[in-house]
Amino acid sequence: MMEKVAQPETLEHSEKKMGGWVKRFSTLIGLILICLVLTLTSKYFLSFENFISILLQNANIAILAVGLTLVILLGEIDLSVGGVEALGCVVAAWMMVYGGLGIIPSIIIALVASTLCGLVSGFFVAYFRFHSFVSTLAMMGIARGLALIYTHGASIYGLPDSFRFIGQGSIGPIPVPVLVAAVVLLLAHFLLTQFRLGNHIYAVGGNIEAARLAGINVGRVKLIVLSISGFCSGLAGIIMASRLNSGQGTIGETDLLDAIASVIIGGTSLMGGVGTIPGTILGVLIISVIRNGLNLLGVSSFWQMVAIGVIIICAVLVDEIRRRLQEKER
Amino acid sequence: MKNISKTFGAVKALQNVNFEVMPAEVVGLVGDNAAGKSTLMKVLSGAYIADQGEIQMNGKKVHISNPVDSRNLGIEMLYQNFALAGNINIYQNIFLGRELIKDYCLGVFKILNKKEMATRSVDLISRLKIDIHQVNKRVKELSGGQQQSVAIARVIAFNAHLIIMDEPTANLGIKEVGRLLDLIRRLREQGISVIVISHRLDDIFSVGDKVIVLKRGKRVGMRYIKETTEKEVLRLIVGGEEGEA
Amino acid sequence: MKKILVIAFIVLFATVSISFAQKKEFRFGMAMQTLQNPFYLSMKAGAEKAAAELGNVKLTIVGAEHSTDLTSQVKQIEDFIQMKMDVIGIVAIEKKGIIPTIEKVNRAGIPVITVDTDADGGKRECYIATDNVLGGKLGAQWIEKALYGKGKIAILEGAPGSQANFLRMEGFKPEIEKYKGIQVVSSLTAKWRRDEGMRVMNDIITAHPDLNAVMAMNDEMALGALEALRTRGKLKQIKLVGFNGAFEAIQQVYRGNMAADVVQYPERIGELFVHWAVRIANGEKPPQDLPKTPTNPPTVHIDSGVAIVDVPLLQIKVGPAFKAIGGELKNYTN
Repeated sequence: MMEKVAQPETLEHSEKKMGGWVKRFSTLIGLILICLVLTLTSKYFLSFENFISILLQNANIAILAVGLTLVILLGEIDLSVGGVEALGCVVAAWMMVYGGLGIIPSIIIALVASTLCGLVSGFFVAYFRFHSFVSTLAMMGIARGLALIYTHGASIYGLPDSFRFIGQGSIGPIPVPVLVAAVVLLLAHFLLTQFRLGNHIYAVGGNIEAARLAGINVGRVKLIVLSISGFCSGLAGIIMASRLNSGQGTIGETDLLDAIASVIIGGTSLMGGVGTIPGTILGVLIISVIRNGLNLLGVSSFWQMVAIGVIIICAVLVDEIRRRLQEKER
Repeated sequence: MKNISKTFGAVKALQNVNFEVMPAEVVGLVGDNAAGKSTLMKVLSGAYIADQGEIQMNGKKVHISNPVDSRNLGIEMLYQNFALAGNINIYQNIFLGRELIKDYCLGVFKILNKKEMATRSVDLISRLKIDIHQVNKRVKELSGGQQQSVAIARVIAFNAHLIIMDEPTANLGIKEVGRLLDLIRRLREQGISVIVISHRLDDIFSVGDKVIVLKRGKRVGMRYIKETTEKEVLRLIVGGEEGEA
Repeated sequence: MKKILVIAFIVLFATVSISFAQKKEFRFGMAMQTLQNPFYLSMKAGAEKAAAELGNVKLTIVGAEHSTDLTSQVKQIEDFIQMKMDVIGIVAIEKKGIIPTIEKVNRAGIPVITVDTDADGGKRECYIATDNVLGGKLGAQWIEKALYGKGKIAILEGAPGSQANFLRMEGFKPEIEKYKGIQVVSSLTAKWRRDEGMRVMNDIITAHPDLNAVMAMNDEMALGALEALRTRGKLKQIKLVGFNGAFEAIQQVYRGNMAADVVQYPERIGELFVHWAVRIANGEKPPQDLPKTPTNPPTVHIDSGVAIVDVPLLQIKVGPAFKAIGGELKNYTN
């Protein structure tokens, strides 16, 4: 019931969901159970406004999770998503306030900058055999450092009024960030299931040697995927700039954790090769609902950290048990 | 292949090896462990690039710097570990790297033509008389034998002139070995050359036209099957001298 | 007979409605910067004590995950809106970045009170805080007296976007610049944190081994700096001044490790929040003739008081001084 009321993205995707229903079932059941518990314990949970609020608050995480899903499918990781998000936020704001540029050019420049970050990380991973952990860890520091430098640690304010529409406006009952997230999720799903690149991503994640021997340009795939992740991070940052009506260099630290948690809970394996966008959507929903529910119950942030850690363990455990059961059947 | 040399660090995997194969010929490539058999063939399939030497096809020099070049020349290789990605399905593996696409919006969007790939895969598999029913099953869910069938389907799917098989009979039972050797004979009848790397001389003698022996990275001999015996080849493998053609 | 019944009914009805009105429960949400700072924990304790005394106030006090995590605070406030709080109190992490969220609360029709750290905009009913400017000034004046007008000092600043930091610096810097014999050799941020305070203090000592005093803009940073001074053996040489009035800092002042502390009466701030929230929820407006903040729109500033305490003050006027900052003498001796 809850799904039909307020998750437009999931509705659109149920047509596009292919095989793997059984696998995804357990995550879905988990989500429904959590919602049930929260409905019983907090009278503010089950309402249309609250669901819209949940979607709005986590739209940027959903976008980060898209980039991360692609990266993790390759068997790599991107630790820079939070830092690049902050950089995107700051660059967009800076261009509008000090650069004197219009909204659209500022957005474009911010997206270019963040995609560039992904490109640089990807370059070292693809052609210099850097481990993505190393490359993106470095980029995280660089991006965040730059973001803090340009804001002097404070914030950039005085953004044009019309810019607020992106983060604070709605089309009908649906907030703009949610629509943006929905579009990004859809595009990513399309990419993975209908395009050659998607196939190649799965192949590289599943067996990189086989992919290479099949003639796939593995380096180029890694480069492209990490650039996409940079783009997504920047996009999330731009949305946050509008939501906060300022350029903040400090955002994104918890977002990194939430995004990775979402992807893992959604069934994407850190080994690579296994995972889907619908799964990630479920993962984002679970994280969002937990945070919201705990807030509504007045639980401190510290317990939220614990809760998310526990959910990650449960999700991966369930996955592992299911896998072993499957192997036993054969 | 002329004067092919390849070194991995301190190891001289291949030293000035010559290798030739005629159209519609089955050649056995034999030798002890670390003789360089797989390495030589991987140079031919584009997985490795030789440090020295050249490759000619029909008298003309060709450059093979990656697997795509090799395939474009009509060379396909069946690797020892199959080189399949277990997390994707059968037809995705068969068409990996050369997926069939259909155009949308006047070629602006090129999306995967899954129906066609599935159909062709089903066709291939039935031609090979393999017992697999759903081509959209993930490869890791298949048995070892079925996985090899998928790999075999892949090498014959693209009109190759030359097929290389690396230890194809290694893990097969008697009946399956027989089926594979039959397949090799059928390929030869269609004018396709096959190079078979194998430890099992009786298999080579069963289908081969000639056999080339490598020892420690060097070629130590070539014999036409009709003119030699297993014992002689064995002797070459174990204690042959270099320089024999 | 009928008349008596009617009167009785009216009296009964009146009593019931009055008691209903008095029994009305208020639900307030307070979004603090963090619950990892004893200063805010004291504030929380003060608010909870006031709520307990009133009996009809239900408080939900939360803190963001890190003191710079603006998005976490935004989510908590938005969820307060969902919980239909009667009044929302905010200790703003970033004075500009929080504005859209305050405006969202405004649109939901819920009154906003900013506490301890103000925001630069959005409609707030009042702003309850220490006069941070005065506090900064007191710190500067104390240092001048303690150093007899001559010496080198360093400043440990709070998070750059914080209103509190801005105001305290605004009180401190002009005042200290008046004293020609005093030189500010370093002014660095330690982001309100203890670990940062220790690290930055350490670096400052390395660069300026002949430092005479340090002004830390909050007690967490001061306590961190204390550890650095202790490790480098500079406790006697460098006078450390803190800002907050946190329990642990007062202890250190009493023991002579810290030279002085600007006390903010955090518990009183918490109490004031609850009291004013109740009045505002009942429809009252805070007195408009009090000083207003220089923001847009300007907001009434309810001063919760500030003082500076140091060892002489503590030793001489031990009992009442401790009472003023909410402590008991016997807890400080050991």
